[in-house]
Amino acid sequence: MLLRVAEHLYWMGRYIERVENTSRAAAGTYYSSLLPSDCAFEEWDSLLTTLGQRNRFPEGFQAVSAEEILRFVILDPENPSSILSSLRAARENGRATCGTISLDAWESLNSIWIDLSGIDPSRPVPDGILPTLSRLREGTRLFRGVNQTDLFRDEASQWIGLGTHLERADFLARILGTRFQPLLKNIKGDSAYYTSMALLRWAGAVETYRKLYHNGIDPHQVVELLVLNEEAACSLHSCLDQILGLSIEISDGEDRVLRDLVGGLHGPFHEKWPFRISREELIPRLSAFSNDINRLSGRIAHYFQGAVCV
Amino acid sequence: MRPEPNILFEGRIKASVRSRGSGWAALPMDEMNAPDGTIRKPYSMFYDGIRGMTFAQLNLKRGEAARYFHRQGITFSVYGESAATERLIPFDIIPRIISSEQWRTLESGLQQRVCALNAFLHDIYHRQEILRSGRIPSEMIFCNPQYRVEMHGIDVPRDLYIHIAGVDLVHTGDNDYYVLEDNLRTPSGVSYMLANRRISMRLFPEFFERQPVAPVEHYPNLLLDTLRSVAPEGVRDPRAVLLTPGPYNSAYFEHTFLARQMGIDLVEPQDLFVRGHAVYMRTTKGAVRVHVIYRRIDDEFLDPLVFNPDSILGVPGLLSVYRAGEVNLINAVGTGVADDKAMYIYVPEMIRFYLGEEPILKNVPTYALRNPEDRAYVLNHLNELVVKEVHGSGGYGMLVGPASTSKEREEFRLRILRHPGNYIAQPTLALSTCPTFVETGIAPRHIDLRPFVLSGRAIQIVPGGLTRVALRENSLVVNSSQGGGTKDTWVLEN
Repeated sequence: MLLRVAEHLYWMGRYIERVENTSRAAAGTYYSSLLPSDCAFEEWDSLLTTLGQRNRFPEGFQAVSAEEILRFVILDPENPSSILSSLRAARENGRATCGTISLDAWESLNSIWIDLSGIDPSRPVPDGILPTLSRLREGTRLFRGVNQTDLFRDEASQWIGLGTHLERADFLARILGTRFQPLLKNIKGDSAYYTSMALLRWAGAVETYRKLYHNGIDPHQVVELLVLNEEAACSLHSCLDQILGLSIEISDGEDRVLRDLVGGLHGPFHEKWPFRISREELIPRLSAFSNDINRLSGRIAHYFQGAVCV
Repeated sequence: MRPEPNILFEGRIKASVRSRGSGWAALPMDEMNAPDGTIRKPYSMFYDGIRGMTFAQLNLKRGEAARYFHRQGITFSVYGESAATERLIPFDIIPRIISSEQWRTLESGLQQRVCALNAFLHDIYHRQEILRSGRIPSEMIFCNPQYRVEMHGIDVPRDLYIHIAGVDLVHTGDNDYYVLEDNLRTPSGVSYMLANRRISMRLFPEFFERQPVAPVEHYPNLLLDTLRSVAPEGVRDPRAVLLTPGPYNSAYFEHTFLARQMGIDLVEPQDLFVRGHAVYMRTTKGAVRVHVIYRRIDDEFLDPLVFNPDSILGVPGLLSVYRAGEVNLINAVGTGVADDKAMYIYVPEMIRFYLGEEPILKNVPTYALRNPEDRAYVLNHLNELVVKEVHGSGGYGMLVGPASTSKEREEFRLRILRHPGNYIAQPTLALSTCPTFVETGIAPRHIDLRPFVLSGRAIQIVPGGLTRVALRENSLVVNSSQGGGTKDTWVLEN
């Protein structure tokens, strides 16, 4: 496969995952902000912090409506982390992978784009925010399904998978970083329930949690699921497992730097890390983790520069 | 409730509207309606099928077609608009229909023409006999910026230079087809021919059930076969790629479409590099040798070491590998010398010279403004003629006399006087009209036809081609960049 096409597939995987993550987080935040609570500010704050857009509303959120913030997060073409911007990037990368993703896959990706880019970002969203976000996620899920059906287990699906899991790991590390503090502030009572549910919703892990734990919602278990679980697609550990496997397949195990980087990230999970999920241990770990993910992205970019070719 | 108007009836009334062009052949023929009020034979089945349909039904079909093109991303970019602008080429749901007899004549005419043009290119890059015979003035070649001295004495596989030609034809009378121009560099539009067939089979399956229409879907297969048949000598399993300038090129959709249909890699210039005497592409598993490059990039941008040193599109060293015969370029470098509008005048002479035959397809009478007599005539008749730049394309840089203002004519007069050799002039042609579904119903609009001629092991043409239609009433400009649309082209099988 052309190296450039591999790069486009990798980025397409990342951006599609980013569209889904952002749309889940946006929907979850909106939902939480509708509940009677004095934490609405924190909700919006952590959403924008996670997306790296906290400075967009320096005056705070008193003067702006929820819909305005959401339009910024979802539809603003000037906001580089808006869903629209990510979707545009996913589509442009998809368009450049001609012949690799199937025509049906391309058509489903293009349809999501036509749908979302047709909404005027300066006016209220015609069908309402939450239905629009649901439709969007249906679209991205359809796209993934078509891709999985049409691509046999070859290099293309490996590159898409690598992008997907790297993006997911990055997102999980970010949301744990921003939402962990409020979570462990109250570990009992109704408010513990709502903050835990908000985090699970952001991570798309509500149902997985319910399947795995039968003793109700407990903040420690929530973090355990999102960090340590080996099986669930929504955990850091399982993302790292995937990244490890895919990066070895892709480089035929010959890129030592890549292997060491992924190994360094993955190893601690098998050392039963962290033994105690406490504020003191997890927060510094998570921030180091985000940095390591960035280094790993950098190494993959190096790979695309054709170091393997000439 | 008011009954829907019978759209065909309206169409037939409007078919009598005459072109405002004057001079040579002013009355346009209509592809469907004969002057005596009857329906021409190739359209009889279609007419019977569509006459009962209402405006609303046809409008639904038009909407379905637009959605199909939009979802598939069948778009083009327009020069001068922001890079992000993607537009749909309007598709008209009513096909242009050609009888099998008429197609057979066209097919032989096209084969003959492309065969002669290939012989001409081989000749001028080798012995130049046509110049020695005095049939074409030498300065027409040597002063032509498209003549590539780098190609002189270079042999190309099968002596073929034009592997893919798009020949623009206009239909002016029952059996009168004229060649308007030959596109011999990187002709585009074939993906629309294929997409148009796909959509019209979705919209009108019943018509395809009722009468056999020659299929076109195998074009990419023929193209791939053509590419592989002109690989460098001795290569047993040649690897072909399609070279695109990238996603911002106006024809990018076509590049992705063709590469996908042929199952070959779509490469951008940075994916290719030269090492030793070979061209390679960069893949995830290392360098892979490339033998045939179907390039959709102009000569000037192919290799910064030979042509434009500022080009960031090129592949440094590509030309030296090409000249050494280790890679083939499709079309060859230097075909532009055969398709400018001044050389067009000499194509009938090429057919006589190289093939010893009379041309089957006609040329439009053309005035070469480098010639003082022609120039004097043209300057006195600007309001009747179409003046074109010798190297222009895409409908840019032309004056359509009958539709022009006196200010435009005056500007053109000055431009012609400054560089007469840059211009040719032709009578306003009465391009045939074809029933077209427009806002008010079905009405006649002017059309042309671009068949695609492939030359490899043999000369092959899928029946039909791309029909372009000028959607504005009375307009003669069919280019997509200037408000033109496209139609499916049906060649009937007996």
